[in-house]
Amino acid sequence: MKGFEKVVDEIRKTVAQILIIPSLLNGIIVFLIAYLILSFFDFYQEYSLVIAALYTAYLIWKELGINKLKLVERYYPSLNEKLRTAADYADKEDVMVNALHKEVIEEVKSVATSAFISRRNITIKTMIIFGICFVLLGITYFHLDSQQFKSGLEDQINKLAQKVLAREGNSIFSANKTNTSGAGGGSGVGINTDIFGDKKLAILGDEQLDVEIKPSTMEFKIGEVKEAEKKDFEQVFPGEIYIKAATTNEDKIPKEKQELVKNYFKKIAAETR
Amino acid sequence: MKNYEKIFDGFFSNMNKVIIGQNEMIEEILIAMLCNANGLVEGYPGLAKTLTVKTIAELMDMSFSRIQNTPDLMPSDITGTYIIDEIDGRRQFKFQKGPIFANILLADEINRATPKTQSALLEAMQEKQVTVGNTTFKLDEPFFVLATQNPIEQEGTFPLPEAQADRFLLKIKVGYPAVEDEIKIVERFTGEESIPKLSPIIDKKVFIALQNLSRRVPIANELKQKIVKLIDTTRHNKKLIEYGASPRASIGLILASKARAFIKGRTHVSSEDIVKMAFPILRHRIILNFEAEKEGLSTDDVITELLTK
Repeated sequence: MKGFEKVVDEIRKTVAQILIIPSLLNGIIVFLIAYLILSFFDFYQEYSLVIAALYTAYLIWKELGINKLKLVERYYPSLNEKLRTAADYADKEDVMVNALHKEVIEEVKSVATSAFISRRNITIKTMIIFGICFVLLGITYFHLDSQQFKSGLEDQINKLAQKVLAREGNSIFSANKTNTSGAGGGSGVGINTDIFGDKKLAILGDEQLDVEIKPSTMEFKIGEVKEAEKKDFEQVFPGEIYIKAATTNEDKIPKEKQELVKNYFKKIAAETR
Repeated sequence: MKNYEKIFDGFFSNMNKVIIGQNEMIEEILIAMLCNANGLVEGYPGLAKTLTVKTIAELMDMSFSRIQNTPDLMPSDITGTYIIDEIDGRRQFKFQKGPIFANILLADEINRATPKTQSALLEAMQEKQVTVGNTTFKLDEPFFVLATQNPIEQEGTFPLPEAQADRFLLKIKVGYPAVEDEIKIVERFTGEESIPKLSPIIDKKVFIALQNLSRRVPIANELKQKIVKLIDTTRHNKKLIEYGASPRASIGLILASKARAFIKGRTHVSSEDIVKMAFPILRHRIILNFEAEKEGLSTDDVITELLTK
């Protein structure tokens, strides 16, 4: 039947267009997840776009490889093998082939494009996208990053450790607790037995720094790191006393008059004395 | 398509007036005829093999002849021979046509004939012509040989060699009827009612047109490949098969699948047609090895295994 090739092309194109939608949604999900992870670790967030683009391209390439006619047949069993046969004979004219083409065209009219889209799938994916977007908004709003998360976690662990150790220290190292303030307090760890004195204070120069010795990890924490102050230098010389330019007229006085000028200044000098 | 469907519906309903059950056998015989090929019907005695072929011939308005094969049957008994005839006082040789000069030839118990007679028949099947002496006689179109053979009582028989069995497109197995069908058979053949006389519903011209149309049924490329792969598998499955099927089997399976689709009123071949037709097409074309026979597998079991792969 004339024009059946067009029918087959249209079926293929329509199905391909429909198949791209879930691939794009998957791509968006991958992009958001990648962005979430990269921004959490404060690593080049732009890479998430590359990852998503590559993933989407792979999905689309895979979707394009699917036999569209077979897919239609899967959703419409009455077209099973009929559609592929008709497509194989799309350019042929024959009594039987024409009858087949006519039959297929009639049945294809009842094919709904919505049949190829899973509403449940699309809804789930859209919800996932919304969910990730809210998480991203939350992270941005609260300025959360991995460092904060890490330090927060460490703080929590330390607090917990301190509590545990405090309990243990009270019972086991009660003897050390009294000795540690003096010299040669011996070994032992306890929450109130800090051998380094006041844990909060250490003076370096004129700046007071917040130095903390962690009993569990023995790490120093410099809580406050201030920006370098910007200081203007005071002017040494008053503004009006300075040399703009120095010139000498010596060269311009003729040699025979130089002695005369010399004597003139000597005379002035003697008079001023 | 609906007109063709009506023809086949009429054919089957008329057949059922005489033959009860055995629809698969009737369908397969018709498929062989639509493919312009021959069929070998195998089954125990008394399963209406001969009656089926006779009824088909009646419905098709075609000339029908029957040969009861025996070991003493000579090729000339089939092909015909020259006899001395007297015309206007002059004696001359005249060719007396044998039973082979018919549209439908029923060769009953073909395995009882000697290989020489079998060869004469098989040559006619293949070439659609008969050579007697120096003269070649073209057989009337359409021409089909529907041979029957009995799987039991093999003593004194000459089993068809594989090469000759290959000439038959289908090997149709006839089984015992179901109990309900047998009750109907008994009632029909023992009651007052006699077997109805059927009038032809398909003539030669129509049948030849149907043959041409059945060849035109489209088949998807994927299914063609599936058929060729299936036949190829029979040649490489050395675990169970000694000798696989020839390309004739591929051609036959495609043609038979087309004919089946046509009978079923479809405008295309489906996988179901291929699966159904694989059995009568391959049954006599694959030779099982000792391993398969030791395990008690039949050719149908092996075909089933090949199809499920």
